[in-house]
Amino acid sequence: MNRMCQGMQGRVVGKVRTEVDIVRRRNRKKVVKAYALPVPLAGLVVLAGSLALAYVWMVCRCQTLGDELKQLETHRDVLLKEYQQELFKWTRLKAPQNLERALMQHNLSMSWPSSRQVVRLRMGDVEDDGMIGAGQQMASVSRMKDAIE
Amino acid sequence: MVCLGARLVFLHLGPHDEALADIVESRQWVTELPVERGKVFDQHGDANILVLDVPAKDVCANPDAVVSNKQVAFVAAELSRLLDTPAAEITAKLDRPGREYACIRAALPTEEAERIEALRLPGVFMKERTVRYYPHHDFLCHVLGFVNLAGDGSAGVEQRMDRFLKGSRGLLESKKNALREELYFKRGRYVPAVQGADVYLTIDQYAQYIMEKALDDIAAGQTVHWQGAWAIMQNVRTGEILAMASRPSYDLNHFRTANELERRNGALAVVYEPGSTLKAITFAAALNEGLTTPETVIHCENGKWMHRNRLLRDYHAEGRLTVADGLKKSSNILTAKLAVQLGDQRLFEYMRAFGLGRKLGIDLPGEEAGILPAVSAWSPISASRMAIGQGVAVTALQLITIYSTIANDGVMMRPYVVQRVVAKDGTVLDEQHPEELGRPIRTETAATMRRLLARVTEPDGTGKRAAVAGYSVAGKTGTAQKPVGGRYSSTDHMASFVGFLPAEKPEIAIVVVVDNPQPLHTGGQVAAPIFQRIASETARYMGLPSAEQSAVAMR
Repeated sequence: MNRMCQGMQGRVVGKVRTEVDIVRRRNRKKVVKAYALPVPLAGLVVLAGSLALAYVWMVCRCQTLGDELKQLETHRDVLLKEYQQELFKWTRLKAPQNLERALMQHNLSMSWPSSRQVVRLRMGDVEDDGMIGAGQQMASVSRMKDAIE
Repeated sequence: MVCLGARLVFLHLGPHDEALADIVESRQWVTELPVERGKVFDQHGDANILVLDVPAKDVCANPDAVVSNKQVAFVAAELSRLLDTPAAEITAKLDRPGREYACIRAALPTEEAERIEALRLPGVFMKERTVRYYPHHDFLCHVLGFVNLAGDGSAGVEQRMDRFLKGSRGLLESKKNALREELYFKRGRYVPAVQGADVYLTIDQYAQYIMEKALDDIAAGQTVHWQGAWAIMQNVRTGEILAMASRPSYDLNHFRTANELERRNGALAVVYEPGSTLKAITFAAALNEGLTTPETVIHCENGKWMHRNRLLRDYHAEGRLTVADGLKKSSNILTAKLAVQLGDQRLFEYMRAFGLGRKLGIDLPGEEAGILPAVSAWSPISASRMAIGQGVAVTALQLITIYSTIANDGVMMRPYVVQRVVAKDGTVLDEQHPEELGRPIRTETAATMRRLLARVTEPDGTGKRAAVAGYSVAGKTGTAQKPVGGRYSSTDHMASFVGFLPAEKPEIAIVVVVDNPQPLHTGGQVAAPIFQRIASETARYMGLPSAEQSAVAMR
């Protein structure tokens, strides 16, 4: 007990217990007993409180998730629109009509090469290490030269 | 306080269903989830988009606000400058006090709309929406078709593939608060939108461009004037349509301003007497039946043949000609004699087998079947006239199919423009494969016909202007008088050229038809040069093997 008192109060109480102390202690215990909640009721209150808190937390969480959901939905819609817009621009940009217009703007006169000017490589023409066979390479180059001349 | 308390108790405990219903209804938040209509691509897939949905904005105004601010002139002037519309037109829409809504311009591209928004014009606001947009305007217009204001495909691929392209709208039921904002955590029924599927065509965007440019350049050249023109390019092995153009054309983004003639896809919908291009059927039939050989000599009556008391003339008078030369010089008399040899029934059966008088089943709306009268309705001279392309009517699609059949060793393939339909999740919903329609002639007959038709584009043939340098071209010219008022007109013609290349190992077939060209009017003069231009550029673009390369490959 002395040790307890030492622990609780932080100082040594080196007195002998008197009658008064004993009576006080007895009285204190009685008071505590008189105001305590019955255990089941306390449990019920705690449960109800917990449920209420959980409910409030869940509502807040739902609201937050809803906000996030809406934000993401809005963001997705914006991105989708931007994507469509870019797609539209890109499509217009690379349309044959536009390419030709751009070439004309820069005074570039281009046409498809004739079949004599095209060197086509087949899979068989490429050796395992990715290099074209020397003979075929020479033949291709000479054909290109002929075409250019 | 007592009254208020009583009312509160009454509201909470009393019969309050009606009041509650009103509250529930006022809090209801139901919205349709938008759906994106599918895109249309050419045969190269995602790289070449032909049609897509694009976000746009309607430029709207509150005329009452503009008028009360006395800004009508200023706003009209600014909008006129940015929208390139007469100020008077805009003023007429704005100067209406008491009105709260006016649409100044519908579906303006977002970029342009943002320029207007930046000005913060009083009383002017934007309404966002998605519009169907055709980035190439009148390019491929007759194949693509358009979507009407209700969002339904109303022509071309848009119509035929509407059930795939359309998708279905979603639904979201939720509740809203007093500020009319959605209470996300009260969301109820959610039906997700099914986005429209994408359609991939067999059309090659560049080949189409070559074709359209050739038609437009000839029209703009002032040397030839015409009422209309149409052309088709087909893969002879599969039946895939690589390009299809018709003139006059129209801007798909403004389809409402186009008239019926402009909206008509001449390649499918115009039925006409083909003239000499149809002679190929008679020659093929006679060869297939073993009635003649290319070397057989037939007398061409020096240009005038009286058959069943009716005179038949040749454009160039000839004496004796081989069958091969008869085709090269396009002799009417020689062809008619072959038809008479064949007999009505057999000629009819061959014409039917080559697809005349019936629809070929292309996956585009508006295809015509042409006219091929039943044998019972033929007159004694019908065979001799039908053999040279009179008294029978075809579409350009039927004509190209005949020549594709010859090019494809006698196997007739169904023409088609839609390659596949793919859902947004990658599932293939519909896919078309080459489909054989029949084999009207044997492989050997087809080979012989290819050889004979290749002579038509030689320097002394009627189709010499269709010859392509470096390639052998097989084909046939056609010049038909148009029937006007029950008689054949001497001034109105249909000029055409149909052929394929390379003649030795055909890859593509092309038909060009020109309606009433003036002052030149023959197929050789008008249609063959267009064919030549389309064929030469396409051959280079597609890398078709030249005659020299084909010869090396055959060795």
